[in-house]
Amino acid sequence: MELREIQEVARTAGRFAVSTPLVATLLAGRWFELDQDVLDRGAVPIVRRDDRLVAPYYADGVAIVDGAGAVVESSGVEAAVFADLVPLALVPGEHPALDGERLAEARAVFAAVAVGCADIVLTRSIAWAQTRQQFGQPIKGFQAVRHMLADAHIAREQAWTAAIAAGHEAFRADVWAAQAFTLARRSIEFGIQVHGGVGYTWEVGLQHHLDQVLELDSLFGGDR
Amino acid sequence: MTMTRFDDPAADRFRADVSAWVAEAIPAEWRDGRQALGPDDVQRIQRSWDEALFEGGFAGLSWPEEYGGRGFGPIEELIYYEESSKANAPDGFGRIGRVLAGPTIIAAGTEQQKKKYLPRILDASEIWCQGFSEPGAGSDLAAVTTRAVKVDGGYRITGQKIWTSFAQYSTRCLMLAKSSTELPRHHNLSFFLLDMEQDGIDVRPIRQINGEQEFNEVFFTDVFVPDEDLIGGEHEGWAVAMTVLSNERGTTEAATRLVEATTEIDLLSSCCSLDKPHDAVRLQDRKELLRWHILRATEEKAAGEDWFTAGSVLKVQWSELIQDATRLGIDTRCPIHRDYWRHSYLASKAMSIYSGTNEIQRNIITDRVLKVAR
Ligand SMILES: Cc1cc2nc3c(=O)[nH]c(=O)nc-3n(C[C@H](O)[C@H](O)[C@H](O)COP(=O)(O)OP(=O)(O)OC[C@H]3O[C@@H](n4cnc5c(N)ncnc54)[C@H](O)[C@@H]3O)c2cc1C
Repeated sequence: MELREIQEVARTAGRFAVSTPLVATLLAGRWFELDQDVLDRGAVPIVRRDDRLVAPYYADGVAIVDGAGAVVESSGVEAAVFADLVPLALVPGEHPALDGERLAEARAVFAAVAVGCADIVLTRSIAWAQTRQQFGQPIKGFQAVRHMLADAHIAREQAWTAAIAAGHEAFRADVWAAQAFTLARRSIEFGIQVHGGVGYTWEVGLQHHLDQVLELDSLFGGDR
Repeated sequence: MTMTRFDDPAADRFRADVSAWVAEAIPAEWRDGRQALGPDDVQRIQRSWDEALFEGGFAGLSWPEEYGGRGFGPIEELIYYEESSKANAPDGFGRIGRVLAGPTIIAAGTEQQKKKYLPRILDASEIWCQGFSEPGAGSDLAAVTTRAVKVDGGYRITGQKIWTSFAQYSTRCLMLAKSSTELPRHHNLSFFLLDMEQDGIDVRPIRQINGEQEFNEVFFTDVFVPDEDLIGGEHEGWAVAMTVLSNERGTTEAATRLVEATTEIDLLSSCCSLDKPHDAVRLQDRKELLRWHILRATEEKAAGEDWFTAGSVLKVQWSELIQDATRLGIDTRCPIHRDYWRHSYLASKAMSIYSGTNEIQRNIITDRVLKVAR
């Protein structure tokens, strides 16, 4: 798959807060296509982080092997083992294979996930502004609210541009990803403000999207 | 052949041509000592840059060949601006002609209007101004009251325009005037290509906060425009004006601002008095983001996307970026560049006002892009 296509999928995944390792799986698939030799037999590198095994995907017939080729885990065994797995691409820098070009691609793709997070919060904020009534009218009628929606859009569009640029300029993908995360976060901040007190409640759940951006930022945002 | 994507291999060749030409053509006094130049020097250099562009074949890159253009697309146009931004090239003096009048005439003009006006914009033998705003019609542009009264063979124009940039140097004006007192709003205006070199026009420069006098009040008293200089249909001027404004907010305007942003931020990055270099790095990053946003929008435009959806985001982005850069310039309190920063800081205040204020841009985004009914 083209990186840009994976970015589109990643953005959609971010929009729906898809928590499975879908995005990492697509990336792994792409790397496998590009580099059959390194990724022999459909294997992709994994990493052991703390006590957890980190794999890009799991499904029937997937086995986790050690460097010598011995099976460590396989999807034939208990499902519980796999519940602890987190996506490979979520641990940049800790795995020898995830650096250089690949790390840059992971940054570009997870930056796109963050744009999806901003998308969903903006969609929900618009819906909220249309329903919530104050002073006898929906708050969407207040220009201050409308301008916050516009600012959320501006930041979200800029974040998407940064994600696209990250996919084109591997040499500064860290800077681009950092910008994408910051801008996606900024967009979500406007969305929370539009929601008022409700936006601050756990129940409404805007923090999930914000958390996802913060988490991705800490993993892929680079040093700046 | 027109490129539709930036990774077109032809883009690299074109880019190399442009960059070689620009490096050669930039006047040394501009390249080495821009900060020390006064407004008159700047204008002289800008005028000679118009000529150089024309002679070098870089004027009207995206305009049709039959009217003196090069027949390329928006991508080539943007490559030109990118390369001139890297080289810190000056802007031409005929910018309203190139950015506004030309694209409007290409979009809405008659064959005769195209033949007559486009080549003169490209060789900068005519300088244009934009006669839209009035004392009572700024953001609410549709409220213009300058009258156009139909007479034999044309129209008679009477009224007042204000903030008309470069009117004192202009030979032609994009004039928006009220041609009907009966028809409803948005269907009562007509758009003219008005000759500025005739009696009945009184241009009075207005001094700006940066001390310069670029914009003017312009009084029109019974001034004639022949029928053939009406552009678009009678009473359909609003629709034509919207074309102008979407061009103004378009990639070309943004690309010229990228050139300005680069000049300011490069100077800032090299300024001896910058105590927080990190801030300048952030601005460089934002400038790169602006560049990529223009690239993205240009590619989407070349692929046939509606342009206006990106235009407002770009306008807010370039104006706030340049304002932040010049604000930081002031904050450096640099003894060498103090006057320069004071001047460009003040000049940048206009950027969130002209080309549609940033508040109006945010209205457009919520109304037309996000489509949230009021
Ligand atoms: C340097 C400079 C050069 C210019 N050159 C030209 C030129 O060549 N030709 C030309 O025709 N014009 C030109 N203009 C005029 C420019 O287009 C207008 O100044 C601009 O459209 C704003 O109109 P106004 O000044 O009447 O402000 P107003 O419309 O009175 O606005 C005042 C304030 O109210 C806000 N506001 C107004 N309406 C709304 C709304 N609906 N929602 C939210 N906020 C609102 C504005 O954003 C602004 O902050 C120039 C202006 C400047 C500063």
